[in-house]
Amino acid sequence: MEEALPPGVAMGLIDVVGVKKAYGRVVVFNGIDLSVEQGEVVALLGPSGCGKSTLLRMMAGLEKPDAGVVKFRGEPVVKPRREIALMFQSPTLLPWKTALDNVALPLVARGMDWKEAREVAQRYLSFVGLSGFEDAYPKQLSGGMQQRVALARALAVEPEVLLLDEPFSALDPLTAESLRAELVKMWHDNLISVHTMVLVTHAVDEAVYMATRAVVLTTRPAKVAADVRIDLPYPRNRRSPQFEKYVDLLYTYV
Amino acid sequence: MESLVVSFLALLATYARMALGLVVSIAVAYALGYAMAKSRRAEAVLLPFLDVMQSVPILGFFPVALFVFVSFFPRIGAELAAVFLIFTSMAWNIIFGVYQALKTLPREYLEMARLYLNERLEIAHVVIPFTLRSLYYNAAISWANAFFFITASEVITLGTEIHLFGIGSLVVKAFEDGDLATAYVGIAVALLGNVALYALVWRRVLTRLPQLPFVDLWRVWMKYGAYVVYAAILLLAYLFAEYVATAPLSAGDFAAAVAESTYLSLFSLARVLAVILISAAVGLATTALVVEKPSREVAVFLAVAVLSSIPPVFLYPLLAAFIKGEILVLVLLLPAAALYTVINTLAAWRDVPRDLAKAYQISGWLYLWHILIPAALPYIATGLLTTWGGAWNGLVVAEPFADVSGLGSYMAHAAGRGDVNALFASVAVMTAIVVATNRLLWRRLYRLASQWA
Repeated sequence: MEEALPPGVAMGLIDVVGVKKAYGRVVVFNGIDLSVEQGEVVALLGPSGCGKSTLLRMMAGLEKPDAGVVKFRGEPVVKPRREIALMFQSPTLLPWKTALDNVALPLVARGMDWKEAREVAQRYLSFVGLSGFEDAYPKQLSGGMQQRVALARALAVEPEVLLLDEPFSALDPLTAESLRAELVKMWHDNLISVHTMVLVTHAVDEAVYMATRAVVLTTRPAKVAADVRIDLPYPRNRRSPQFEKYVDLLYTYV
Repeated sequence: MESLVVSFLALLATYARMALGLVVSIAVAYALGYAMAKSRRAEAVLLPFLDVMQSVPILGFFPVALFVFVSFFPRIGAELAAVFLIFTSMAWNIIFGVYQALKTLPREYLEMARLYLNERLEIAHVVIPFTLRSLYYNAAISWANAFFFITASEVITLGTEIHLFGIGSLVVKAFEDGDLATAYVGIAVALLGNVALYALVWRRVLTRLPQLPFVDLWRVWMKYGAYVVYAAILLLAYLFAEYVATAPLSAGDFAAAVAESTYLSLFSLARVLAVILISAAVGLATTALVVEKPSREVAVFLAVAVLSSIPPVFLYPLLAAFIKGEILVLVLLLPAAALYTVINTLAAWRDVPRDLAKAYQISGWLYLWHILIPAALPYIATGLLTTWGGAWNGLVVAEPFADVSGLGSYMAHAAGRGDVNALFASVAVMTAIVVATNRLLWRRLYRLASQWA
């Protein structure tokens, strides 16, 4: 059940090769390797401040490694790419735009006219369960609904990879749980363009619930402490003994 | 009847110049604000420069206005000079406001824009909208401040006097001619006009925060406008240097004037301190009003703006019969001083814990001393920082009316006589006082107060 993956050997969809990164004197990575295959859901676990989010932001093209390289399909990621979307911890919706226009705006940036973009946005809003809220402004929506709008925005650009930076951590437990379940279902049933996800989390059971693979990082400078394939059918049952076994196993590394 | 029509036209002329000054101020604010937010080098050079410029009293810009604009553009020079002077009483807080808004734009929003948008949409839908609240509030404040100094921008005196058609010069001239009826009509028209303007236009702008028109044009301007502004500053500086080279300056006279200015500034200092204390109290009172009922915020803001736009020349005739000397100068100065403190303190209401006081029935002294003042202190400190400069600059139009001796009236009389030595000396002394105290005192107080904010 536990299977160590040789790092950086085969070319995956996303390859992190020998990445170093420091902020002033704080060395976050001193040469880290990680490979994400197409179709995986990889959960990045680790103590807070270990650089999980930094790694994710490098995959998104928001930050550059000091040395080493992050590749997507063999090409270095130097700036944000169309195939990769990122969902932030907070919804980052524009307060002066309606839910619909918040989702439509990135589509306009990709060359659609507003009319077409709003039609697509409408589809994705109803896909995440928000039909009827198109004209609401972010302030009029609950935190969970705002994060749903952010999810619709990320899905509407039809990316191949979805990066998630603790996207459920600011939500109440019930809302977080239903969003988690929906997202996993969308991915598993191929209802969305996203085939691969990388998820930063500090909740072990969230990792076991969603991911096909959990990567545990050490404290700074971060190394891969454990790389565990989670071989459970979806939808996963938190009460099953196998589920708990994985949780216990990961806790030994965290 | 005739004076009513003339007053109305004069007010329109004044508003037109102010509108032009405001557009130029906003343009400069976006060009420099964006340049400073993007580049550390621009920031390092421009921040101290702007800090000094905002401390220079309006009369300090008279030589530039006259000898650059009027002598180089004989036909429309006087008009340009007036717009330039209005600009100098409007621009600085708008620039700082836009700069701060750009600087504090949350990083995750910029990252969201990098991921999902292109530059065009980023500036139009993320960057500019984030600056609008600060822009419009500062613009409304600047509008009031520019009106407070309206006589100084329409009656430019430096030995010779230039009168431009406008409400400020109309009222001044009517008083000089002893035509009290016309003067009072002019004052009434202007006050009504200001009330109407704030009630109809500014209130709408502040509650709706409309997007800037021609947003694509602004985008291009934000990227390259700073170079235009740098070129303009260098050109003005060069032409001004040309003038200074020919001006009848003498080191001895200048030194004597510096000494006299420094001595006179002690009297002015006492007035400024008194007026600052009064405005801090007014600021706290208005904050308490808004804490009690937050929906009053815009209304209180507008009321303060209207009241503080009243120039001394309008108040003086109404008050001179009742009060004189020191009291008079304080009252005339109050609008300029109260504006910044009250408006900055007003912003504190969000940080004043409302439910706590209600739940535990804390009121009166206890409420004032342990809740309202500490919560508002960081804002009061910011207010004092700006009020300090505003009050000193206000002296130059307030002191001459009350006929008291001080740095302000000394400067005004120097300008009136065309005594450039005394003018430059007094401007230098006032600017130095404002800049030095800002650095040494107010910023430290501000840092202290912002530790628990």
